[in-house]
Amino acid sequence: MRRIKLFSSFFQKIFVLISSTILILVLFSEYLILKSQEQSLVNVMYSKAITIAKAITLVTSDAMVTNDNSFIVEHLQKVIEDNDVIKYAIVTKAQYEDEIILVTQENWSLLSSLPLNIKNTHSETINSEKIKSRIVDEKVFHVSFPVVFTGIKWGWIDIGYSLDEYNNDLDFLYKSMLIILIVVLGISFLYSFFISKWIVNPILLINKAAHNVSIGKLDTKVEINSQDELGQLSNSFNHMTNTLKLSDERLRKSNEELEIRVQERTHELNQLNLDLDKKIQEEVSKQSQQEKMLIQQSRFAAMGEMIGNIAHQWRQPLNAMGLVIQNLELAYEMEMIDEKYINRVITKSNRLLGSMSQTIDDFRNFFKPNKKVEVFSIKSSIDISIDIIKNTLENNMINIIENIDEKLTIKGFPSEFSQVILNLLGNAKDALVENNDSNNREIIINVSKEGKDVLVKISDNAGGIPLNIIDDIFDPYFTTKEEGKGTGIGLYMSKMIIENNMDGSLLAKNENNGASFLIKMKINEEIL
Amino acid sequence: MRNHIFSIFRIMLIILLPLQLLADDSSKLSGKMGYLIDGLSSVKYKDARIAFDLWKIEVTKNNDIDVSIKYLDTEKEIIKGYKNSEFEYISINPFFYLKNSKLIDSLTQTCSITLEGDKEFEQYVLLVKDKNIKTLKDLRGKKIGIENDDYLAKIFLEYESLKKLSKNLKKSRYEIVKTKKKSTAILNTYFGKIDACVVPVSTYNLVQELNPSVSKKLRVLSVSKEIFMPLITFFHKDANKQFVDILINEINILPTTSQGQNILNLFKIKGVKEIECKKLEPLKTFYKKYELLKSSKK
Repeated sequence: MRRIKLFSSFFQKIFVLISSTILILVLFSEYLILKSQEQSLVNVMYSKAITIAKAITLVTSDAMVTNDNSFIVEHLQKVIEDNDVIKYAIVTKAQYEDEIILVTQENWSLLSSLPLNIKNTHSETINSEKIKSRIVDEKVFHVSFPVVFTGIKWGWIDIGYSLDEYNNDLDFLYKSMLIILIVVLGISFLYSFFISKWIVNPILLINKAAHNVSIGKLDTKVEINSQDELGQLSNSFNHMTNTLKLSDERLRKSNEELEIRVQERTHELNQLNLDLDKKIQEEVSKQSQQEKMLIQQSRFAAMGEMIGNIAHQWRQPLNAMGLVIQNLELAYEMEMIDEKYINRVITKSNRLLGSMSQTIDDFRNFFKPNKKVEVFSIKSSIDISIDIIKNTLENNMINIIENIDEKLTIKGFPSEFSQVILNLLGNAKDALVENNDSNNREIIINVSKEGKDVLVKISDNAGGIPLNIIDDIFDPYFTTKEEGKGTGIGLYMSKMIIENNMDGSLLAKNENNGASFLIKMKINEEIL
Repeated sequence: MRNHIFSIFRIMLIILLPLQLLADDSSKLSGKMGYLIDGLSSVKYKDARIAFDLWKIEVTKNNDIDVSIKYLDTEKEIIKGYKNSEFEYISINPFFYLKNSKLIDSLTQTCSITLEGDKEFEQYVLLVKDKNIKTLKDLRGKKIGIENDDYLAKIFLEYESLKKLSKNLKKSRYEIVKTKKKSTAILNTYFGKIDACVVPVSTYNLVQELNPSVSKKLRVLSVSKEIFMPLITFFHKDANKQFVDILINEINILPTTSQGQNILNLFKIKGVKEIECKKLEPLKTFYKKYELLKSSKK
């Protein structure tokens, strides 16, 4: 059996419980015994005092009748001399109440009246009580004994019985009780100790064993060989630990198997992850390539657009050139060609060719991406975009209405911003061409200041964006145009340019029978 | 050889046996006391017997002596016994000594007296309560309390009466009321039961101690000389001196032991003191005067 911590809280509780119970019982018993013994001592004292009083009465009755005071005095002296427990004796004669004989151990005297506390004890019956006597200036057991014979009350014998013996007996009693109490307490402590140990020891053993089990020591056994509930508990506990041990072993085995499986699965997963990474990388690579392709496509589209626009720009000078050439041919047939004419044709041709060349420069500059951030005028950037698409819009009978605050500037990439405006205008144009057959095709460009922001709003009256796709229009490759006409990259690229490159926002909504695209960017406070 | 051994044994027996017998007789002292019950005064006969028994035990415990006591009822018996050397010592009331002083003195080697008070010899006082009693003449017809066996008190009273009253004794006669105890006589006077009392001063002092108001109410009318004692013990001149010394020594040490105190308490005395017999002369003188007065005023 292992040593256990005996003075546990539980042990203390049991010990205190038993000790205090015994202590209370002993104290209660001692209290009852003391009270009983005290009463017995009083009874003994009363009995002795009454015996003496009776003896005095017997001897002095004649003297009381004959008023023989000297006899009474001598007899009382004799009685007191023979009984040192009598502190005083008083004879009060009913017929001579002013001749009260008081005899003490030291002297005797005649009293004319009794002290009040003694007088109050006089009655038809025997009275006794502990009083503080003024006669002997100490506490005495006073007995008042009425002297009655031949049916006549002749007086009283009062006896002051010494409390010394009573107090000594009481003192002895208290001391004895104290010694008994101490002895009983000692025994009770020992008894409580052994009983507590007897009760608590098995429980502490089980507790200790339970603690061992809780920290994993499943081979812990409790050795309690009693046949009581604790013995049964011990058996059950041992059985439980055996079961736990078996379960633990099974669990360990299962864990080990599981760990192996987990390792296998982890390995498989790692493998899968590696494959997945590869696949993702492949997909990302594919996506990147697709995006590159898209961008390429976009560029191609933009180039096509540019070429288309150049073509539009060039159409009028080319026609003019054609007319110049036709006029030159006619002038040659009509022999109108002279030097002046030739110079005029050359000048006009050079002017037309210069205009076409300027067109190419303009487009080249427009599509050349900016490499550094700069402050630019919104109005000028929008005008560049409008100039590029202006002819196309005019050809499609689209009217542009501009409400632009010319003073507003922003910080960013002006070329890319122009591309965004061009893209939005192009989309508006396509929508108007597709959806608005009326003669009232409008694109309204509003540029205003809202707090510290610039709000660029490009609206059309092409019927708006269908609600089922309005949330998807900024997704890459999303397009509603016929195949070959749209790449689905324009709005996506525009949103990227505004939100990522220029720290603004681009939103779309339907209003006034059309779509509105809102660009919000921080205003530049710098003056150009 | 065998005869020689017998001879030696017989010689030793003849020499040692008488020595042994002689030694027994000579080492054991003994004495007989005569105690006169009459005049025991306030000592009860029963108490006296107990006290003597205790005293015998004490004396024989300390000494290799034999002590015996004979209680006698009459004066004649004890005087006869003392005269016949029947008793080594006798204890009697002084009154009987005064009556037989010549004889006793002639037979006595030493004597001792009992002490009731602090003084060696006692005085008698005549106490009265009534303020009208101013002289002994005023005691005529009055009741005077005297302890039952206190013969000396009676003699003192008569002596005083004879000395101061008229020749006509009958006219000045008072009534003697005998009391069991001396103190009772005082108390009876105090409570007015009797008119006067004759008691030893030691008794009166004791009563005063117990109740000081007694002296306020009682008045001393007459006081005797310091010549009285309650009891006298006479040691016979034939008594063994060593035996007498042992007894006197034992008597002297009585107050020093607890048992001795008990014995003295039973005798109601404070102690016993050996005195020279000539110290009894004033008492004898007083008695002679009394006798003379009595005979002169017959």
